[in-house]
Amino acid sequence: MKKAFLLSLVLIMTCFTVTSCKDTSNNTNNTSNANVGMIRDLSVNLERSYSVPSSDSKVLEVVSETDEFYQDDLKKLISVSDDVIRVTVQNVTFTSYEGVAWTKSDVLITDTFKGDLKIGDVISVFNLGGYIPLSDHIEGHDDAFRFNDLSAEEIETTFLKETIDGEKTIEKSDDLILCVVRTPEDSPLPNGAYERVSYSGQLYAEDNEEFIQIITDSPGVTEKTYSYDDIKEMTK
Amino acid sequence: MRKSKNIITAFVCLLLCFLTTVQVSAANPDGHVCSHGYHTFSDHKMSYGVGNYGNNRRYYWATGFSSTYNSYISNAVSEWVNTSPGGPNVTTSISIRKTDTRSSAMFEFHNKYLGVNTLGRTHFYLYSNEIALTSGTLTKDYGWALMEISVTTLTNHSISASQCKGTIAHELGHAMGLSHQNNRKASIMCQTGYSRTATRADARDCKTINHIYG
Repeated sequence: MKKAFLLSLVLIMTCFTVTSCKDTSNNTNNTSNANVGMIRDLSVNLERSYSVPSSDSKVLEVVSETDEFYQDDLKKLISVSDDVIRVTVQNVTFTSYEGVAWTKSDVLITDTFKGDLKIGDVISVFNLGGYIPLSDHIEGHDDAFRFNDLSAEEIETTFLKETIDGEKTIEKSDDLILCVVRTPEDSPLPNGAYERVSYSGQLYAEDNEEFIQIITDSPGVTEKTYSYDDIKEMTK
Repeated sequence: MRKSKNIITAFVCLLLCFLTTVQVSAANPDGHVCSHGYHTFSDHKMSYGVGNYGNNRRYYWATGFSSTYNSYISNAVSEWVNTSPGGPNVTTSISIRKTDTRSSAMFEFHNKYLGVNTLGRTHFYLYSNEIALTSGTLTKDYGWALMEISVTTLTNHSISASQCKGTIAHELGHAMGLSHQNNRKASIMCQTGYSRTATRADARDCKTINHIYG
């Protein structure tokens, strides 16, 4: 009995040791070029753009709950993507279409896993949410009467910050792997724009070997870790 | 014989360890759950209720939709209101009708493009002389709800008619204060991406409404 117990303990300890070991072997296949410069500018222009509101502006944060078609199955997200790319975020701008807030991130591609985009390309990736002047929201939704407690001046200086519940926003200098598709022809976004397939098709680079997928269907946050080789394998 | 029995016992223990780990990580990310175990936003709700059994009827207003989608909206609302026949047979206080007078509506449906992946979304707004800031998740009662349905996205994904209605019913569930329930496919509050099978509220969804509004 004592032997059985000791044997079980050894086996369990071995199990934990094996699963918690980090693969620190050098990945000679990692061709990420952190110092690459722009070769092709494929970014798109905006008809209207906004920066983060100044501290003088009133900001109304409006959280939303969504129904999403794809969820966090990374292999699935990769399979439906036009391109899977590693990027460094160069610039983040806020804009709106039809009174809906969008964030445009101009990103420099530093590595590619799938698709026709190349290292050195700069593209514009759009995702839902961001800052929008209240006046733009009102114009797009024709709902001025909902805000009749505000003066005209207050409406002009108020911004909505539209957020998807729990979702992490892209920021300048982020080092990411993105699963993207070209925006459909029937979308109001500019021709040549790309969209993130899903908020969970966005992995944060921790170092050159590991990428973190953050799944934020509130209230919990789940993180999944993938190696460079994991991503490569899924894009075969 | 005794030795192999011991080895088998050890392996069974190990297997149980693994299975427990796998089981925990296999659960889908779930929505907010109140202290009573219902999927709500800490029981925050629409001020003045969702109809009070017809004594304080609420109204919805819709814009930008084809006649097909207007009928989906009508059916989705009706199935929340009328839980029998053909439904879960759980009576709720919900009483919502369509209005052409927008200012009477506490629920608004708009057709807006929301991207390649977002089929619909619900925003929560407050009425106040001072605009109250609601940071992060829903933390207060709210005055009205704006539901945006991305018809383009639904069409591009070839979503069936019944699941188009399901998306609308899902958003209306949010608008009434229900959070996601991604570990139960039979709930209308399970997201499409987590393989929702429901196209209308089930008994538990209706009971959640009763929990919020009494």
